[in-house]
Amino acid sequence: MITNEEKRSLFPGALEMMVLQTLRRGALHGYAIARHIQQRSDDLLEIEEGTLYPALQRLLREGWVEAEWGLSDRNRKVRIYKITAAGRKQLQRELSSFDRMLAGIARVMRPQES
Amino acid sequence: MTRIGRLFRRRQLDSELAEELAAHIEEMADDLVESGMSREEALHTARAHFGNRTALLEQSREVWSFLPLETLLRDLRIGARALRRTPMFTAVAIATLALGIGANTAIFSLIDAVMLRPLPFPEAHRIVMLWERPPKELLTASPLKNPGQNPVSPENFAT
Repeated sequence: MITNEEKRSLFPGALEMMVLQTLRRGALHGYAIARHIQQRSDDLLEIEEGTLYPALQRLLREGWVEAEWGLSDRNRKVRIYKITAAGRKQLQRELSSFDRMLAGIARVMRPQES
Repeated sequence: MTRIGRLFRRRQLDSELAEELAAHIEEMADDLVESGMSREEALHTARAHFGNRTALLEQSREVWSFLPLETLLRDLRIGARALRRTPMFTAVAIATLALGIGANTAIFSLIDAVMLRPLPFPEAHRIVMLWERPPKELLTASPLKNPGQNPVSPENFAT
């Protein structure tokens, strides 16, 4: 695997959260999920397959997504992932803790006003 | 699906994941072709982007691994291999265990039969054992002084 020191890893659970958010709008296959996240982030985030598929497996294991074989836009046989009700609940929980985390980091990083 | 179910269907799940990854590469290559790359170059780029597919399969599988059980199985395998490497030690260890277990079983069987199990009769505590012993005179004198005398009679016993 090519490792690039310029790349930095996301915090644990960040990819799962973004995958759930992506699937909230509709079922997608693996490549489409990666492309969607990359495009939505204006190419700031590049999703590596090496982390995407283990993340999808974790989401399947927790029952937050379901997978079914289907056809892609190009009529190719792909596995299509769909968010479950439990997945939506989990996404809500993660969003609120994510907001708190961002706010906390911002407060620490902001120059002291005194 | 449960993790145990996955344990038995691993081969099928692996091939499903491999198929899924292949489709991913093809989709990516199609996108690259649409953006003006040659088909060959696009496939090459997609594969390179994907990196080590075996490692990816391994990581995806690990997510489901039934860790306690698999660790136990691995420990057992390592133990068996270590024993096979040192046959003399293994033989001594097995002989020691066999003797120890055998001796304990024998002693326990005896104690169980003699002391632990009640006799198979009602009111076993009232059972007595009687036997006759001829008095000394009978052994030395002959013929018998009192033929028909019973040296042991129930009056001599109180239970």
